[in-house]
Amino acid sequence: MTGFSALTNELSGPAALHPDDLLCITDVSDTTESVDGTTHKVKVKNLGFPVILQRITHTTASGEFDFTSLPSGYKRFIIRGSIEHQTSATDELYLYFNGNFTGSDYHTQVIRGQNNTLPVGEASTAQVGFCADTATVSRAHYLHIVIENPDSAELKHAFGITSNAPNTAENIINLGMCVHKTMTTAVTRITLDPGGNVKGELTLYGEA
Amino acid sequence: MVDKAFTDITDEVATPTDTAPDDLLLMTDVSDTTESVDGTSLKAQLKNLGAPVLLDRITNATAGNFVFSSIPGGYKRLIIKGWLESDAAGAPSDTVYIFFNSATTITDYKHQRLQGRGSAAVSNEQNNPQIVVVPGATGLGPATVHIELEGYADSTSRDVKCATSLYGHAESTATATVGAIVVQHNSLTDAITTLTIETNNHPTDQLVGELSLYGQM
Repeated sequence: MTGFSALTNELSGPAALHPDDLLCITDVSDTTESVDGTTHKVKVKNLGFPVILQRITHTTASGEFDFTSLPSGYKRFIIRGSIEHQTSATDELYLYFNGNFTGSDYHTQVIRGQNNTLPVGEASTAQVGFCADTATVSRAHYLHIVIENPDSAELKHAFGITSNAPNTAENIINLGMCVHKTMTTAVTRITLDPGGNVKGELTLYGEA
Repeated sequence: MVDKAFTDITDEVATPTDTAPDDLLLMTDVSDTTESVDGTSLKAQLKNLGAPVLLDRITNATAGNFVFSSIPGGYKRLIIKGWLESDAAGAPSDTVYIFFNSATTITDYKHQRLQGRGSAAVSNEQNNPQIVVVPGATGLGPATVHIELEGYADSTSRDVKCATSLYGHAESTATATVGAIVVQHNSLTDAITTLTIETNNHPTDQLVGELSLYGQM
Protein backbone atom coordinates (compact mmCIF):
# COMPACT_ATOMS: atom_id res chain seq x y z
CA MET A 1 0.00 0.00 0.00
CA THR A 2 1.41 3.37 -0.92
CA GLY A 3 0.50 6.94 -1.80
CA PHE A 4 -0.34 8.37 -5.22
CA SER A 5 3.02 10.15 -5.50
CA ALA A 6 4.79 6.84 -5.22
CA LEU A 7 3.06 5.36 -8.26
CA THR A 8 6.22 4.84 -10.24
CA ASN A 9 8.04 3.11 -7.48
CA GLU A 10 5.07 0.92 -6.68
CA LEU A 11 4.69 -0.20 -10.26
CA SER A 12 8.37 -0.83 -10.80
CA GLY A 13 9.04 -2.63 -7.58
CA PRO A 14 5.98 -3.49 -5.51
CA ALA A 15 6.83 -5.21 -2.28
CA ALA A 16 4.07 -7.75 -2.63
CA LEU A 17 2.29 -8.24 -5.92
CA HIS A 18 -0.33 -10.94 -6.26
CA PRO A 19 -2.69 -11.83 -9.10
CA ASP A 20 -5.67 -10.64 -7.08
CA ASP A 21 -4.23 -7.23 -6.20
CA LEU A 22 -6.33 -4.30 -7.26
CA LEU A 23 -5.47 -0.76 -8.15
CA CYS A 24 -7.80 1.44 -6.14
CA ILE A 25 -8.24 5.18 -6.08
CA THR A 26 -10.12 6.02 -2.94
CA ASP A 27 -10.83 9.11 -0.92
CA VAL A 28 -9.26 8.22 2.42
CA SER A 29 -10.76 11.26 4.10
CA ASP A 30 -14.20 9.76 3.57
CA THR A 31 -14.51 7.06 6.18
CA THR A 32 -17.79 5.86 4.75
CA GLU A 33 -16.22 4.95 1.43
CA SER A 34 -14.76 1.62 0.49
CA VAL A 35 -13.25 0.02 -2.56
CA ASP A 36 -16.43 -1.70 -3.64
CA GLY A 37 -18.59 1.39 -3.38
CA THR A 38 -20.49 0.27 -0.29
CA THR A 39 -19.94 1.95 3.04
CA HIS A 40 -18.14 -0.06 5.69
CA LYS A 41 -21.11 0.32 7.98
CA VAL A 42 -23.58 -1.01 5.43
CA LYS A 43 -21.31 -3.93 4.62
CA VAL A 44 -20.97 -4.85 8.28
CA LYS A 45 -24.70 -4.43 8.83
CA ASN A 46 -25.58 -6.59 5.83
CA LEU A 47 -23.33 -9.34 7.13
CA GLY A 48 -25.46 -9.49 10.26
CA PHE A 49 -23.11 -7.80 12.69
CA PRO A 50 -24.47 -5.27 15.16
CA VAL A 51 -23.46 -1.71 14.33
CA ILE A 52 -23.36 1.25 16.67
CA LEU A 53 -26.22 3.65 16.00
CA GLN A 54 -26.00 5.92 19.02
CA ARG A 55 -24.09 6.11 22.30
CA ILE A 56 -25.15 8.24 25.25
CA THR A 57 -22.80 8.91 28.16
CA HIS A 58 -23.84 10.74 31.30
CA THR A 59 -20.81 11.29 33.49
CA THR A 60 -22.94 13.18 35.97
CA ALA A 61 -26.51 12.56 36.97
CA SER A 62 -28.97 13.27 34.21
CA GLY A 63 -32.64 12.75 33.65
CA GLU A 64 -32.74 9.82 31.28
CA PHE A 65 -31.23 8.06 28.27
CA ASP A 66 -33.15 9.22 25.23
CA PHE A 67 -32.34 7.66 21.84
CA THR A 68 -34.09 9.69 19.14
CA SER A 69 -34.39 9.72 15.34
CA LEU A 70 -33.78 5.98 15.14
CA PRO A 71 -33.34 4.69 11.60
CA SER A 72 -35.38 1.96 9.97
CA GLY A 73 -33.95 -1.09 8.25
CA TYR A 74 -32.82 -3.19 11.21
CA LYS A 75 -34.27 -6.47 12.44
CA ARG A 76 -33.69 -5.46 16.04
CA PHE A 77 -32.30 -2.80 18.28
CA ILE A 78 -29.98 -3.84 21.08
CA ILE A 79 -29.11 -1.61 24.02
CA ARG A 80 -26.09 -2.50 26.13
CA GLY A 81 -24.16 -0.83 28.88
CA SER A 82 -24.40 0.04 32.52
CA ILE A 83 -26.23 2.77 34.36
CA GLU A 84 -26.76 3.67 37.97
CA HIS A 85 -29.40 5.65 39.73
CA GLN A 86 -28.18 8.49 41.88
CA THR A 87 -30.76 8.20 44.59
CA SER A 88 -31.49 5.04 46.47
CA ALA A 89 -35.26 5.27 46.51
CA THR A 90 -36.07 4.04 43.01
CA ASP A 91 -34.18 1.52 40.98
CA GLU A 92 -36.85 0.17 38.65
CA LEU A 93 -35.88 0.80 35.04
CA TYR A 94 -38.58 1.83 32.58
CA LEU A 95 -38.47 1.75 28.77
CA TYR A 96 -40.74 3.98 26.70
CA PHE A 97 -41.40 3.89 22.97
CA ASN A 98 -41.80 6.95 20.74
CA GLY A 99 -42.27 9.44 23.54
CA ASN A 100 -45.25 7.72 25.11
CA PHE A 101 -44.48 8.06 28.83
CA THR A 102 -47.87 6.91 30.15
CA GLY A 103 -46.98 3.90 32.26
CA SER A 104 -50.47 2.42 32.18
CA ASP A 105 -50.23 2.11 28.38
CA TYR A 106 -47.66 -0.66 28.93
CA HIS A 107 -47.67 -4.09 30.54
CA THR A 108 -44.71 -5.81 32.13
CA GLN A 109 -43.58 -9.11 33.61
CA VAL A 110 -40.41 -9.39 35.67
CA ILE A 111 -38.77 -12.27 37.50
CA ARG A 112 -35.57 -11.97 39.46
CA GLY A 113 -33.27 -13.61 41.88
CA GLN A 114 -32.43 -11.27 44.72
CA ASN A 115 -30.70 -12.22 47.93
CA ASN A 116 -32.08 -15.77 47.93
CA THR A 117 -35.62 -14.60 47.13
CA LEU A 118 -37.54 -15.10 43.89
CA PRO A 119 -39.88 -12.16 43.30
CA VAL A 120 -42.20 -12.26 40.29
CA GLY A 121 -44.28 -9.28 39.28
CA GLU A 122 -46.78 -8.31 36.60
CA ALA A 123 -48.14 -4.78 36.30
CA SER A 124 -49.34 -2.07 33.95
CA THR A 125 -46.01 -0.29 33.77
CA ALA A 126 -43.11 0.01 31.33
CA GLN A 127 -40.58 -1.66 33.63
CA VAL A 128 -37.98 -3.68 31.76
CA GLY A 129 -35.45 -4.22 34.54
CA PHE A 130 -33.52 -2.78 37.41
CA CYS A 131 -30.46 -0.60 37.80
CA ALA A 132 -28.10 -0.16 40.70
CA ASP A 133 -28.55 2.73 43.04
CA THR A 134 -26.05 4.62 45.14
CA ALA A 135 -26.84 3.06 48.46
CA THR A 136 -23.27 1.85 48.81
CA VAL A 137 -19.86 2.68 47.42
CA SER A 138 -19.25 -0.51 45.48
CA ARG A 139 -21.64 -1.78 42.89
CA ALA A 140 -21.75 -3.58 39.62
CA HIS A 141 -24.34 -3.30 36.92
CA TYR A 142 -25.16 -4.83 33.58
CA LEU A 143 -27.88 -4.11 31.04
CA HIS A 144 -28.86 -5.89 27.83
CA ILE A 145 -32.18 -5.03 26.17
CA VAL A 146 -33.52 -6.25 22.83
CA ILE A 147 -36.30 -4.59 20.84
CA GLU A 148 -37.16 -7.07 18.14
CA ASN A 149 -38.69 -6.07 14.79
CA PRO A 150 -38.86 -2.30 15.44
CA ASP A 151 -40.16 -1.44 11.96
CA SER A 152 -43.08 -3.84 12.02
CA ALA A 153 -46.80 -3.21 12.52
CA GLU A 154 -46.82 -5.53 15.54
CA LEU A 155 -47.20 -4.31 19.11
CA LYS A 156 -43.89 -2.94 20.33
CA HIS A 157 -42.10 -4.82 23.07
CA ALA A 158 -38.73 -5.05 24.76
CA PHE A 159 -36.94 -7.90 26.52
CA GLY A 160 -34.28 -7.15 29.06
CA ILE A 161 -31.64 -8.84 31.18
CA THR A 162 -30.27 -6.66 33.93
CA SER A 163 -28.06 -7.46 36.87
CA ASN A 164 -26.40 -5.48 39.57
CA ALA A 165 -24.85 -5.68 42.98
CA PRO A 166 -26.32 -2.88 45.06
CA ASN A 167 -24.00 -3.80 47.91
CA THR A 168 -21.77 -6.63 49.07
CA ALA A 169 -24.68 -8.31 50.81
CA GLU A 170 -26.90 -8.99 47.83
CA ASN A 171 -26.96 -9.37 44.07
CA ILE A 172 -29.88 -9.01 41.69
CA ILE A 173 -30.41 -10.67 38.33
CA ASN A 174 -33.64 -9.87 36.51
CA LEU A 175 -35.45 -10.96 33.38
CA GLY A 176 -38.06 -8.49 32.22
CA MET A 177 -40.41 -7.90 29.32
CA CYS A 178 -42.60 -4.89 28.63
CA VAL A 179 -45.07 -4.38 25.81
CA HIS A 180 -46.98 -1.32 24.71
CA LYS A 181 -50.59 -2.42 24.64
CA THR A 182 -51.63 -0.51 21.51
CA MET A 183 -48.61 0.91 19.68
CA THR A 184 -48.00 -0.60 16.24
CA THR A 185 -46.04 2.23 14.64
CA ALA A 186 -42.34 1.87 13.91
CA VAL A 187 -39.98 2.59 16.77
CA THR A 188 -38.11 5.84 16.19
CA ARG A 189 -37.41 6.78 19.81
CA ILE A 190 -36.51 4.76 22.90
CA THR A 191 -36.25 6.34 26.32
CA LEU A 192 -34.80 4.54 29.33
CA ASP A 193 -35.68 6.15 32.61
CA PRO A 194 -35.28 4.84 36.15
CA GLY A 195 -37.08 7.86 37.56
CA GLY A 196 -34.52 10.47 36.55
CA ASN A 197 -31.20 11.28 38.18
CA VAL A 198 -29.20 8.61 36.39
CA LYS A 199 -25.67 8.35 35.03
CA GLY A 200 -23.69 5.81 33.04
CA GLU A 201 -23.27 4.85 29.42
CA LEU A 202 -25.58 3.05 27.02
CA THR A 203 -24.97 2.09 23.42
CA LEU A 204 -27.74 1.43 20.91
CA TYR A 205 -26.90 -1.10 18.21
CA GLY A 206 -28.84 -2.09 15.12
CA GLU A 207 -28.66 -5.62 13.75
CA ALA A 208 -29.92 -6.82 10.38
CA MET B 1 -14.00 6.32 -5.88
CA VAL B 2 -12.94 4.07 -8.70
CA ASP B 3 -12.05 0.42 -8.79
CA LYS B 4 -9.70 -0.65 -11.53
CA ALA B 5 -7.99 -3.87 -12.29
CA PHE B 6 -4.22 -3.71 -12.32
CA THR B 7 -4.11 -3.82 -16.11
CA ASP B 8 -6.28 -0.70 -16.37
CA ILE B 9 -3.79 1.49 -14.57
CA THR B 10 -2.81 3.51 -17.59
CA ASP B 11 -6.35 4.57 -18.39
CA GLU B 12 -7.13 5.41 -14.82
CA VAL B 13 -4.10 7.58 -14.31
CA ALA B 14 -4.63 9.33 -17.67
CA THR B 15 -8.32 10.01 -17.16
CA PRO B 16 -9.18 9.57 -13.50
CA THR B 17 -12.82 9.99 -12.59
CA ASP B 18 -12.14 10.97 -8.98
CA THR B 19 -9.40 13.57 -8.71
CA ALA B 20 -9.88 15.00 -5.23
CA PRO B 21 -6.57 16.21 -3.75
CA ASP B 22 -6.68 13.70 -0.93
CA ASP B 23 -7.04 10.71 -3.20
CA LEU B 24 -4.37 8.11 -2.91
CA LEU B 25 -3.21 5.40 -5.18
CA LEU B 26 -3.32 2.22 -3.22
CA MET B 27 -2.07 -1.26 -3.85
CA THR B 28 -3.95 -3.68 -1.70
CA ASP B 29 -3.84 -7.43 -1.49
CA VAL B 30 -7.47 -8.43 -1.27
CA SER B 31 -6.52 -11.91 -0.14
CA ASP B 32 -5.05 -10.39 3.02
CA THR B 33 -7.99 -9.82 5.35
CA THR B 34 -5.91 -7.79 7.78
CA GLU B 35 -5.29 -5.08 5.21
CA SER B 36 -7.63 -2.38 3.99
CA VAL B 37 -7.48 0.54 1.62
CA ASP B 38 -7.32 3.20 4.31
CA GLY B 39 -4.58 1.54 6.30
CA THR B 40 -6.92 0.34 9.03
CA SER B 41 -7.17 -3.37 9.54
CA LEU B 42 -10.47 -5.07 8.86
CA LYS B 43 -10.60 -6.12 12.51
CA ALA B 44 -10.21 -2.53 13.69
CA GLN B 45 -12.90 -1.37 11.28
CA LEU B 46 -15.34 -4.02 12.51
CA LYS B 47 -14.52 -3.18 16.11
CA ASN B 48 -15.07 0.54 15.66
CA LEU B 49 -18.41 -0.02 13.95
CA GLY B 50 -19.66 -2.07 16.90
CA ALA B 51 -19.27 -5.66 15.72
CA PRO B 52 -17.96 -8.20 18.23
CA VAL B 53 -14.49 -9.35 17.22
CA LEU B 54 -12.81 -12.58 18.18
CA LEU B 55 -10.02 -12.10 20.72
CA ASP B 56 -9.25 -15.65 21.74
CA ARG B 57 -10.62 -19.18 21.56
CA ILE B 58 -9.81 -22.12 23.80
CA THR B 59 -10.77 -25.68 22.96
CA ASN B 60 -10.44 -28.39 25.56
CA ALA B 61 -10.77 -31.74 23.86
CA THR B 62 -9.59 -33.34 27.09
CA ALA B 63 -10.63 -32.07 30.48
CA GLY B 64 -8.89 -28.97 31.77
CA ASN B 65 -9.68 -25.38 32.64
CA PHE B 66 -10.01 -22.23 30.55
CA VAL B 67 -7.60 -19.35 31.08
CA PHE B 68 -7.92 -16.24 28.93
CA SER B 69 -4.82 -14.16 29.59
CA SER B 70 -3.41 -10.86 28.28
CA ILE B 71 -6.92 -9.64 27.52
CA PRO B 72 -6.62 -6.27 25.78
CA GLY B 73 -8.41 -3.13 26.85
CA GLY B 74 -10.25 -0.84 24.47
CA TYR B 75 -13.61 -2.59 24.35
CA LYS B 76 -16.82 -1.79 26.17
CA ARG B 77 -17.43 -5.40 27.16
CA LEU B 78 -16.20 -8.95 26.88
CA ILE B 79 -18.48 -11.70 25.60
CA ILE B 80 -17.76 -15.39 26.10
CA LYS B 81 -19.77 -17.89 24.08
CA GLY B 82 -19.48 -21.62 23.73
CA TRP B 83 -20.23 -24.96 25.28
CA LEU B 84 -19.04 -26.72 28.41
CA GLU B 85 -19.41 -30.03 30.17
CA SER B 86 -17.72 -31.58 33.17
CA ASP B 87 -16.30 -35.08 33.30
CA ALA B 88 -17.19 -35.40 37.00
CA ALA B 89 -17.87 -39.11 37.39
CA GLY B 90 -21.43 -40.09 38.29
CA ALA B 91 -22.59 -36.48 38.52
CA PRO B 92 -25.61 -35.14 36.61
CA SER B 93 -24.34 -31.57 36.93
CA ASP B 94 -21.35 -29.59 38.12
CA THR B 95 -20.60 -26.07 39.34
CA VAL B 96 -18.31 -23.77 37.37
CA TYR B 97 -16.46 -20.77 38.82
CA ILE B 98 -15.03 -17.68 37.15
CA PHE B 99 -12.07 -15.75 38.60
CA PHE B 100 -10.94 -12.23 37.66
CA ASN B 101 -7.20 -11.58 37.27
CA SER B 102 -5.32 -13.18 40.17
CA ALA B 103 -8.18 -12.83 42.65
CA THR B 104 -8.72 -16.50 43.50
CA THR B 105 -10.11 -16.22 47.03
CA ILE B 106 -13.52 -17.78 46.65
CA THR B 107 -15.20 -15.86 49.46
CA ASP B 108 -14.23 -12.53 47.90
CA TYR B 109 -16.99 -13.14 45.37
CA LYS B 110 -20.76 -13.28 45.59
CA HIS B 111 -23.19 -14.69 43.06
CA GLN B 112 -26.96 -14.67 42.62
CA ARG B 113 -28.52 -17.46 40.59
CA LEU B 114 -31.96 -17.48 38.97
CA GLN B 115 -32.69 -20.94 37.65
CA GLY B 116 -35.39 -23.30 36.52
CA ARG B 117 -34.59 -26.97 36.99
CA GLY B 118 -37.17 -29.67 36.50
CA SER B 119 -40.40 -28.02 37.59
CA ALA B 120 -38.81 -25.91 40.33
CA ALA B 121 -37.58 -22.32 40.37
CA VAL B 122 -34.45 -21.51 42.32
CA SER B 123 -33.06 -18.26 43.70
CA ASN B 124 -29.75 -18.81 45.40
CA GLU B 125 -27.12 -16.36 46.61
CA GLN B 126 -23.74 -17.49 47.94
CA ASN B 127 -20.26 -16.19 48.65
CA ASN B 128 -18.46 -17.78 45.73
CA PRO B 129 -17.84 -17.03 42.03
CA GLN B 130 -20.26 -19.53 40.47
CA ILE B 131 -20.98 -18.40 36.91
CA VAL B 132 -22.77 -21.37 35.28
CA VAL B 133 -24.03 -24.88 35.94
CA VAL B 134 -22.96 -27.54 33.44
CA PRO B 135 -23.74 -31.23 33.03
CA GLY B 136 -21.54 -33.83 34.64
CA ALA B 137 -20.46 -37.11 33.13
CA THR B 138 -23.99 -38.52 33.24
CA GLY B 139 -25.58 -35.42 31.68
CA LEU B 140 -27.15 -35.27 28.24
CA GLY B 141 -24.58 -33.40 26.20
CA PRO B 142 -22.95 -30.04 26.94
CA ALA B 143 -24.33 -26.78 28.27
CA THR B 144 -24.76 -23.71 26.11
CA VAL B 145 -22.92 -20.87 27.83
CA HIS B 146 -23.07 -17.10 27.32
CA ILE B 147 -21.16 -14.80 29.66
CA GLU B 148 -20.72 -11.02 29.48
CA LEU B 149 -18.52 -8.62 31.43
CA GLU B 150 -19.64 -5.02 31.03
CA GLY B 151 -17.00 -2.34 31.68
CA TYR B 152 -14.28 -4.93 32.27
CA ALA B 153 -11.48 -2.53 31.29
CA ASP B 154 -12.62 0.42 33.35
CA SER B 155 -10.10 0.81 36.15
CA THR B 156 -10.99 4.39 37.00
CA SER B 157 -14.52 4.00 38.29
CA ARG B 158 -15.35 2.76 41.75
CA ASP B 159 -17.52 0.02 40.34
CA VAL B 160 -16.56 -3.51 41.25
CA LYS B 161 -16.16 -6.04 38.49
CA CYS B 162 -18.99 -8.42 37.63
CA ALA B 163 -19.98 -11.07 35.10
CA THR B 164 -23.46 -12.06 33.97
CA SER B 165 -24.33 -15.39 32.38
CA LEU B 166 -27.07 -17.32 30.65
CA TYR B 167 -26.85 -21.10 30.42
CA GLY B 168 -28.89 -24.20 29.72
CA HIS B 169 -28.43 -27.94 29.54
CA ALA B 170 -30.15 -31.26 30.17
CA GLU B 171 -29.11 -33.50 33.03
CA SER B 172 -31.24 -36.36 31.75
CA THR B 173 -34.21 -37.07 29.53
CA ALA B 174 -36.40 -36.01 32.46
CA THR B 175 -34.57 -32.99 33.85
CA ALA B 176 -33.41 -29.84 32.10
CA THR B 177 -31.91 -26.64 33.50
CA VAL B 178 -31.95 -23.04 32.35
CA GLY B 179 -30.55 -20.17 34.35
CA ALA B 180 -28.93 -16.80 34.70
CA ILE B 181 -26.26 -15.74 37.17
CA VAL B 182 -24.57 -12.52 38.18
CA VAL B 183 -21.18 -12.74 39.91
CA GLN B 184 -19.43 -9.79 41.50
CA HIS B 185 -16.09 -9.44 43.19
CA ASN B 186 -16.66 -7.59 46.43
CA SER B 187 -13.81 -5.11 46.03
CA LEU B 188 -11.93 -5.54 42.73
CA THR B 189 -12.05 -2.42 40.55
CA ASP B 190 -8.92 -3.10 38.47
CA ALA B 191 -9.21 -3.68 34.74
CA ILE B 192 -9.67 -7.36 33.95
CA THR B 193 -6.81 -8.85 31.96
CA THR B 194 -7.18 -12.52 32.89
CA LEU B 195 -10.25 -14.73 33.21
CA THR B 196 -10.12 -18.25 34.60
CA ILE B 197 -13.05 -20.64 34.24
CA GLU B 198 -12.93 -23.95 36.10
CA THR B 199 -15.06 -26.32 38.14
CA ASN B 200 -15.43 -25.66 41.84
CA ASN B 201 -13.63 -28.76 43.06
CA HIS B 202 -11.29 -29.69 40.20
CA PRO B 203 -9.65 -26.43 39.16
CA THR B 204 -7.46 -27.72 36.39
CA ASP B 205 -8.72 -31.02 35.08
CA GLN B 206 -12.48 -31.29 34.73
CA LEU B 207 -13.92 -29.06 31.98
CA VAL B 208 -14.35 -30.11 28.37
CA GLY B 209 -15.61 -27.73 25.71
CA GLU B 210 -14.86 -24.70 23.64
CA LEU B 211 -15.13 -21.04 24.64
CA SER B 212 -14.61 -18.04 22.38
CA LEU B 213 -13.78 -14.63 23.80
CA TYR B 214 -15.07 -11.61 21.92
CA GLY B 215 -14.65 -7.88 22.48
CA GLN B 216 -17.28 -5.33 21.53
CA MET B 217 -17.18 -1.55 21.32
